[in-house]
Order: sequence, then C-alpha cells, then structure tokens
Amino acid sequence: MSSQLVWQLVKNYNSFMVKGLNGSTFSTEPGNLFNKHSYKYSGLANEKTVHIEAGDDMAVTVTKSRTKNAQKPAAARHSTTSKKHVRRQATSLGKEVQHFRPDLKAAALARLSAVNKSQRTKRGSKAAKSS
Amino acid sequence: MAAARPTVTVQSIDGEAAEQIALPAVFTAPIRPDIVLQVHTGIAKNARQPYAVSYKAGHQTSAESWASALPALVMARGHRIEQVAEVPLVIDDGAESVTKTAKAVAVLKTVGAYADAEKAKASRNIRRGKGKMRNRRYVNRKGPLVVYGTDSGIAKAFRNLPGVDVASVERLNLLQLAPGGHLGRFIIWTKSAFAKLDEIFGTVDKESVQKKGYKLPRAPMTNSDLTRLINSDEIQTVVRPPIQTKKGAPLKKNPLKNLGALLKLNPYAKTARRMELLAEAKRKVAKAEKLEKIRKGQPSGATKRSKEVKEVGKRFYKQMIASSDYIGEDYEVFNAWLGQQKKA
Repeated sequence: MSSQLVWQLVKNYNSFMVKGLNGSTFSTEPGNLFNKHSYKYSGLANEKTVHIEAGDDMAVTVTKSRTKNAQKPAAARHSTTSKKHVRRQATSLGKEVQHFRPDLKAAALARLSAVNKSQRTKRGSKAAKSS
Repeated sequence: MAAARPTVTVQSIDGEAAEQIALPAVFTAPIRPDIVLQVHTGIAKNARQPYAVSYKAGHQTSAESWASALPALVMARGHRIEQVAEVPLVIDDGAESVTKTAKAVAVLKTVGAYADAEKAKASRNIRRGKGKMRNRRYVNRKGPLVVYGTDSGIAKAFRNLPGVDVASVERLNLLQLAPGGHLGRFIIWTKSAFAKLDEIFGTVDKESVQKKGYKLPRAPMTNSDLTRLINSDEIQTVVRPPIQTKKGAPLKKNPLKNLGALLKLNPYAKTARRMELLAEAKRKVAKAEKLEKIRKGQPSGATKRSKEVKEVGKRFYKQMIASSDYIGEDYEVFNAWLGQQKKA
C-alpha cells in the first residue's frame, strides 16, 4: 500500500489530528517531527519516519521505522538512546537522517534542538538554585 | 503491504510454534472510505427507523472492503496496537474454546492486544447531552473486534470486556468493522475465521460461495505509489524536459574595477596592462642598480656639472647676499644671525 494512498485515507480525519487556532492543524502521532498535519511530516502515511523524544536525565531517544516490518507493529520501530552532548548528537543524527530520509534532516535537527532546550534547567529556577 | 504479502503468521496463544496462513483476497480489495461512510450512514439508521434503509445496504459490492490490514489506518482510528506482533492479527483456534473472561484477558495480553481493551475500558464516561436520560448514559471507545469461525465459548468469554466486540465471520457488520464510518477497526481473527474469508467474499478470479453473484472489487490502479510512477522509465521517456527559465538580469560589473569586464569591452587592455607591468619592473631594477652604485661611491653614470656652471651658481649666491637691503641700525641685531660682517 503506497504512502500516498494512506495519506488520502488519513488526511481528512484521524485520531491524532488537533485543530489549532486560525485554521492551523497539528498532529500528535509519533514519527511526526514538526507535529504538523501534512503528508511530508506525517508519521502515519510515510513508510520511513524518524521520531525524537526526550529520555531520562538529558538522554535523547531517536526512533526510526523499519520498512521491512511495516506490518508488524511490535517490531516496526527501532530506537536508540544516547546521552551524548547535543552538538555531537546533532552531527551524528544529521548524518543518520541524511541517509534515511534526506528531506527530514532539517526537521530532525530542529526537533533535537527543541528537545534539548526542554531538558535544560532554566536559569533562576528552583532546581538550578538548589544544585 | 497487504497486496504483496501472501501469508500471515498465526499467533499462538500458548507459546507454540507459529504457523503461516494465506492472506485472503478480500484484503486486497480497494479501500473506499467514501462508500464505507455512505453505507454506514445507511445502516446506522437501522437501529431507529428500519424503513429508511435500502435493502441493499451493507451488501453492495465494494462496501465490504475494509482497511483493517494496514497498521497506519488502524492506528489512525486510535487503536493501541504498538505491541501487536502483526497486522492483520490472526490467533490460534484454541482461543475459540476459551470460556472464561479471565482467560480471554490472558489471550489478549499474550497477543499484545490488551492495551487497546484497556484504553476502551478507561474511556468510559458519562455521555454528554440529553442521551443520558434516554438510557444511553455512558459512552466508551471501541476496543478490538474479535472475529471467530465457530463459537465454542469465545463469544461469551469476550463479550463482557468493555469496548471489545465479538462477531462471527459469517455475520460481519459494517457498524462493527468501521465504527462511526471510520475505517481501520482493530480486528483479532481466529484462524478458522480468517480461513473462511476467501469462501465468504470469494477471490479475484472466483465468485463468492455464500453471496450469490458477488465478486471482489479490484483496484483500478495496480500501483498507487505516485513517486514510483513519476520516476518510472515509461513516464520519464515521454515527458518533455523541464523548461529552464532565465533568472533575471545578470549582475552589472564595473569595467573600471573588474578586469574581466574590462577585457570584454577592450581586449587590448590585457596587452597594455602587461606591457605596463613589464616596463615598471624594468624601471625598478634600473633604479635599484643606480642607487646601489651611488651608495658605493661608484660613478652612477649621471652627468656632472661643469666648473663654469658651478661658478655661475656661486656668483649668483654672493650677489644675492650683497644686494640684500637688510642694512642699517635696525638690522644690527641680526648680524650674528646672518653670520657676516656689516659692510662699512
């Protein structure tokens, strides 16, 4: 089943769609790097997806889909967790995504940066003061 | 890829070796959300006003196709199938003789489908609006649909689980296959039910045994992969090459500053410039040599002034001093400064 056909079936309604303000539509499924409801970023329609998520203690989990196991949900994803410094991580992630889905490279790096930003302790926060 | 996959693994419920079963042809039928929605709307009326429904509803040809074999669509309906081993999910016939709900839960857990049942259970809420007072007090999400071939207790075992529906493969209902008209219900087939599908719906080249005159619809497109089509040799050989449009006017270069631009206007400029440089280099060398000689006290080759010329110079100087008007009392103070005696 081609990804274009799946997108046609899924684009009008699906359980992950979130309608935002001013006619913007977002999507919450895993594998959607910008959480944007569009064919390019869709984690449902595309065969190859990349997902980046915050792990415990500054770790970042990168999940890639396995096209070979598309019919087997339990084995359809492969994830790696890394605690590298974010700059090191950006280099390796960029290379990885470049081979896997070149069109998603910029989005993957942007999401990695956003995830990292969410993990950093805020200046002046209670956690920063106590440590 | 449902169309390309001929077999599905039968998931055992007690850890036995897995077995393969052929994928029924009905899974290759085109997915038609438009028809499903239309027919769903029709059948859904059955519950309240039976006379409004066409007698054909639910039995029209392509309405029977469904999309429960695509993980993406099942997920898009909101089912929790992350732990499921394979879609479509086919389980061992042993599940049909399960008689206890506790055992049914265990079966769901082993095949990774319990998360979906849990989700349905947790979603139970009080209905919004007036339906509450019309004997429809609670709402909850749909969980998996269990489809069996023969009922040896399975229907009673599963039916008390909230959200979980049970159906015989002989009496599949669009309201259960596509709740709300939305494709992609998570279906758990038993092996015997799965094997019966070819008999019920027929295959592409064989008519259905149970439905008279029913043939499986075929997809008008054999390949729906657009990128693959566009990049195929057949299409690429007949399309014309892309039109190269000019990108605006080129940047204007100043020929007085940019040598390349100057050469375009005046090809001789190159020779002129080269000669100029050569001459300059020559001049430099000559000057350096000359300076060197002067420093060493050698004759530099420059012409010397003759004695007569020197005499003329001296005479002029003397005369200039003598003819000065700065003579008198007022200027006595400057005598020392001028360095000469006042003339008597």
